[in-house]
Amino acid sequence: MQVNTPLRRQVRRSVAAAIAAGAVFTLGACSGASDPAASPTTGTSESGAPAADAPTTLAIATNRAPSTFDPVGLATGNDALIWGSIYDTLFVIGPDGELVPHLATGYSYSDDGLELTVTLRDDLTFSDGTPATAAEYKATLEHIRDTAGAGQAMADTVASVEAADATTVVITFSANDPGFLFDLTSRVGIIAQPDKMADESYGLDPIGAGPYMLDAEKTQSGTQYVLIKRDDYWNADAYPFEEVTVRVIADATAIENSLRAGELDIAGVQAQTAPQFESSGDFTTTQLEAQSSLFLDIADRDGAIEPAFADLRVRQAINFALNRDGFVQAGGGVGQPAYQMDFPSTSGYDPALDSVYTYDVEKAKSLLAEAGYAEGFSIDMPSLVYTTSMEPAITQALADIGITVNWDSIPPQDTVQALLSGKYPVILWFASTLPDANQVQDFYAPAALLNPMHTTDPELDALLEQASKITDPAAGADIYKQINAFGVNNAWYAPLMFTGQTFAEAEGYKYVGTSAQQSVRIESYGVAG
Amino acid sequence: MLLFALRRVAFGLVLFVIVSFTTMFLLSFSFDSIIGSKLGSAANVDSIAAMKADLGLDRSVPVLYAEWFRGVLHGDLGASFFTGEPVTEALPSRLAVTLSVVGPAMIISALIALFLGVLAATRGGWVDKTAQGMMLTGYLVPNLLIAIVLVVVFAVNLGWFPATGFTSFAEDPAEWARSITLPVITMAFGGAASMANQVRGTMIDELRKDYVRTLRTRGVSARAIVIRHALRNSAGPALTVFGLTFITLFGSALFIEQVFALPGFGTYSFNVALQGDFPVLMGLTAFGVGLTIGVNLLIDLANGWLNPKARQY
Repeated sequence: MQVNTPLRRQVRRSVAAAIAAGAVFTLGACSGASDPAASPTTGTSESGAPAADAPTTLAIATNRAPSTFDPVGLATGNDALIWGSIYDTLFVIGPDGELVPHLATGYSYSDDGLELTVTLRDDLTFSDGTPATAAEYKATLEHIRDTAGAGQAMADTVASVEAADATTVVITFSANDPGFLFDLTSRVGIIAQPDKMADESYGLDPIGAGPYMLDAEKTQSGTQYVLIKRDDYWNADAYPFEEVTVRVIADATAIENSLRAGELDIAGVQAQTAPQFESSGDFTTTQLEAQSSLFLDIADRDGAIEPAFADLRVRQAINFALNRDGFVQAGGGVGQPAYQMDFPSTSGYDPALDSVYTYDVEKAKSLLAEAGYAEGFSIDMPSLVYTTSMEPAITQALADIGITVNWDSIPPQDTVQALLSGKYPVILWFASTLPDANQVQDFYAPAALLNPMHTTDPELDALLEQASKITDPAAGADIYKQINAFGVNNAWYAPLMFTGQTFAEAEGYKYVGTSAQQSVRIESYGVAG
Repeated sequence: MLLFALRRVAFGLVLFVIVSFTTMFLLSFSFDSIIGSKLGSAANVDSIAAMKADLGLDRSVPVLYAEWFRGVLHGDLGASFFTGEPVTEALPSRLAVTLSVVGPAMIISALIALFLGVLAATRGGWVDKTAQGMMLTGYLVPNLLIAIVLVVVFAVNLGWFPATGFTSFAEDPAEWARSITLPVITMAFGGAASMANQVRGTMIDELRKDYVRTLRTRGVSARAIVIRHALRNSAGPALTVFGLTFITLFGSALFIEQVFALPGFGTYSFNVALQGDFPVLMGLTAFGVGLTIGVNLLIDLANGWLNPKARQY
């Protein structure tokens, strides 16, 4: 059984997810910077159908524009808000993190897990009126797999994809890839119009099978995207908004001003200003408790750069040195301390692990002394555009136990290369909520982005091999818990906090996404019941 | 005058080539990063090399520059690496937004500066002191603060103007005016202060000159002395400051556009720079350098026209 999949395969979600999560920290939170996709009905009022006087237009903001609509160039995180509305995906992640069929009706794995059969709905059409069938999905997936671009890595275990009939797709893998199932909620789960994909204008003018289509007249690339509801979409009634305007506003304060001035209907607001919205009487608020995590990746677990890190006691000392409650308070109090890498919404989360590392500087110092590093040592860490605001606190916490941090400034476009360089023993990084299978691949596999020095361990290898055979996500909780516990007990990471986000909603609107949902989707925006 | 003009144009062209070539040369060190950013997590040595060759970025900088410059001469600045949108199509709409704000801000600043500067220089006393106080305030209060106060008071609390966004003139002239009002006031505030100070200074110098005294003794009215003589003679230095202020306002558009979420040149440049979209970055550089050189050229020519002595430089 092959546990290791190619390096690039492993890094794709972490990067986008972390960048989306990082935006929450650096920008203080924008509506685009957060969660979810939901079940097809979450866009409606709580009673299941929109009230007669319910709003039919929605204006929201995202903090960055999608760089392209070419399927291979689609980014996850914030960008999914727009492309997810146009293309839709085979599955979406439900409120509790479960897989919900969307363009698909179901799936099944072969016994060896190397063949995935997905059944599509038989009533799918593109916004140009042509049918969207298994053949179009095959063309889309092959385009993503065979074209150089950001999304290619997500499809690189796909050996072949066949359209058995109009509604049946058979995907064969070169190696077990349980995370692929959840990737079908993301860019490899889209169906794009293949004839259109050859056009040069495709990057700006997409044709998809989703609930909305881009209004080319009102849309200004990079600035404002206007989405018009498709009445011929299979589940059009579940979407209460006839027109959705997504404005690109990078500045968090500008987003809040726009919300207060009535130009936006729902937006993520900064922790510091959330109470003002709550008490104003003009807005209701919805709070997500844990939608992204902040942590130190102690990447040099073998001590290749700093020999001290090969000693478990040193890695544990870092975990004891972090005042996680203080980090939460410094971040505005929205969120909770993190003592393990798995999110509370995942099946691998184990409350018992929360008491392994409590804040204890003296204990941290004595562990360092036992390991022979009483005098401390110095390390280099990459200073990334997404982490600068948190760096002083990290510097201080590590200085308290004698570890001096030198920050290397990294240009934004070099972020991934810096992480993969293997130059940094410890990295401050972020992640969005991930399904268990993807979390395992992205955090613990030998080729994972967050394992840049490819550390392996016999105990972990055995667990990873078991995890790679999981084809029913609901049945894997025990394995996922064990892998999570391995990470905590061996101090591969030093988790800091799970960050939450508050959404302020104008009258008549309601944010219905949950912390368990990773990508931003239009289904997270609904009308008040 | 013609020779002077030709000399200035030639100088401008040389400057354009130097700056744009230097930009391309510096960007060439980031080609791998730029392609890495396009490839995302699929980036590795092989995929980067393949895409570099595919995009023609594996050639030497002089070859790349020659091709780019030829394109510029033919009005072709290439297309975005990410969206495929031609640069010549992407720039005008963004430029229109920024000029919508910078243009009126410049005109209002200039009018305020002329009024305030001349008033301060001619009246003296408490009028001068008050005017100087206003100029100092304009200098000292950061644009960003003014923008935030304006948004909170006039957009959020009173609801007279939109807090963010831009409506094009073609779509709705009244909404266009509403959408640019607060950004224009913000920009005009600082712009007027720096220009007014310059107008005041040069006017005071002019009014102290012998020819002004002579004109007074001949019974020429104070108003005529100021408007027909002193103002024209002090226009040279003031024009230079006006030109520089225009370029400064254009540069500061980034901050104003961020606060008011305007889809202008500054916002676009910022996003493109973060992304490392090479063809667009070169297009923006060409435009930025062209604008700076063009404005300076116009000022030089205007100065040459106003002051024959300036033509010999």
